[in-house]
Amino acid sequence: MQVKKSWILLAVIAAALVASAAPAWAQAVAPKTTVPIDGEYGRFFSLPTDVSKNGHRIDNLIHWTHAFMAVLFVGWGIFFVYCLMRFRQRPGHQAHYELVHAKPSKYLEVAVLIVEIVLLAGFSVPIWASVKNDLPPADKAFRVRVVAEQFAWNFHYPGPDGQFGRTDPKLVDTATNPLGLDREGDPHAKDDIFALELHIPVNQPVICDISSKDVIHSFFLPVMRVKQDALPGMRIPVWFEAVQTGTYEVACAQLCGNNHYSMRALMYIQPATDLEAWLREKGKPPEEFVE
Amino acid sequence: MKCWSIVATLVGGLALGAMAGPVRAEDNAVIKGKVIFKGDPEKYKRTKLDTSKDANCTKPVGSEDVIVDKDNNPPTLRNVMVSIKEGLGDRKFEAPKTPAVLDQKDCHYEPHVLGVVEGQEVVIRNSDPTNHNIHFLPKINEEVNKTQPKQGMEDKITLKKEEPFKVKCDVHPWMGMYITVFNHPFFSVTDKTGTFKIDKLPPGKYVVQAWHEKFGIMTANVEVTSGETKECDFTFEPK
Ligand SMILES: [Cu+2]
Ligand SMILES: [Cu+2]
Repeated sequence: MQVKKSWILLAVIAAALVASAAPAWAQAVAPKTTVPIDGEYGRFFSLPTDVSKNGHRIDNLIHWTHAFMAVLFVGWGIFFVYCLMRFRQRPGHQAHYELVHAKPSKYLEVAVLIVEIVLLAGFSVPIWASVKNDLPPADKAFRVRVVAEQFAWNFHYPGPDGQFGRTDPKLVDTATNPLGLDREGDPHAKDDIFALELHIPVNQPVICDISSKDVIHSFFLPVMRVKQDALPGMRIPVWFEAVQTGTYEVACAQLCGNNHYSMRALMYIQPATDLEAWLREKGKPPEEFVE
Repeated sequence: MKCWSIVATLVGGLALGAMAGPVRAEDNAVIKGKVIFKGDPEKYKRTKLDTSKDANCTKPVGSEDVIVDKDNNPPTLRNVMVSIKEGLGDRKFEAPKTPAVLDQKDCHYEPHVLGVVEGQEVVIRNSDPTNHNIHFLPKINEEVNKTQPKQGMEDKITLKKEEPFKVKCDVHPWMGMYITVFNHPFFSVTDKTGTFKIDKLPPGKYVVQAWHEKFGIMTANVEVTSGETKECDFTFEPK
């Protein structure tokens, strides 16, 4: 018995060591990047930096849910330990198997139910409805199409005419036309802009239309508290508004294959003038490549 | 493409069962020539690709789907796979002992079009200080999907069945190339000079095929006798 216990202890210590070394190891083997990311991620048990207008509402929801769950966890835990001791097997005591009809437990159950209803109907549903479903008016929002593929995020901007051009899977060329834009056939497609980076304005609502070329991915902007599955065959809008400029991360939150971890892009939140300058630069015909 | 792979399957199927024969003394005919581009080279300028996804890809990468060498007179087309399509009968040919090399260098593939013989080894190398994930997309051969996270990594693959297919990198969406597996060693890819040369051919009547990823397939009938060298040019004229 003693031997077994010490082995378990050793295994736990080894696992803890490995777990604590994992981030450093991951950093050592990951290809170096020269673009620094703003904000803080993965501080002990805290949420990442929030630079969105609505993110705090999601955070509050998370915090309230955690607070209630903590009360439940501790309460039930104490009750569980109490029962273990109070009803332990001992001479002269016989277990009986009928339900106990006690008043206090009924009140407790009703209280938990009420808390859950309040969480769901009072907080979650209204917050979700306004954060998720009520899209800002189209003429006020900055619109980007986001096309996921194994293993990259493609961003499609409508260009100066404000209209997205026609795309066709038959026209897709992974190197020269990843979106399959019909630049010859559709006049709206002529000025459309393709990028592997997400550039958005600060202090203006942004609508992203999420779709996928192959499997299910998930468009994840930690600093915006936005996460939306990308489903092939569907174009799903999400919206958010940034309140601070900076460079942040776009991640894929759905295990989508071998290189899921490398499915990452950068999001640049910029003042409107900087964004316009970038779009103008990106909208120019591609530079000629000379060997 | 589709038509080609059907033909490839048929020819591959017919060739099965025959044994690899020795090289004969009269197998020394040559078919060589040029792949000419007739059209406006300005319309097919190479462009710089967006490589911003990976900060480790520091060198500019150019598009490779159409490469016209306009300094040549007449302008020629690069990366055209010229091969013998028909006329070898059911003769079997041995795979070369030296492996074919596919290098991932400066975040693009080297070469862009690669021909290998059934059973020949292919060495896949990562020469970049970043992660590449090579992904073969064949229909008949076994799929290859390998991550090479460190510089200098190598993988060895043997392709067993005749087939053309695309290769892509799962990390860098702009990276793509083509491999064709033949059941004979009579093929050649045009280079900067736009020329190709197929040698050590047995005498015979052949259908020669030129394939380009954007402009499709052209064929020509060529007959060679032992020791003879025949010129055969192809002209691609895109609309
Ligand atoms: Cu993904
Ligand atoms: Cu790559």
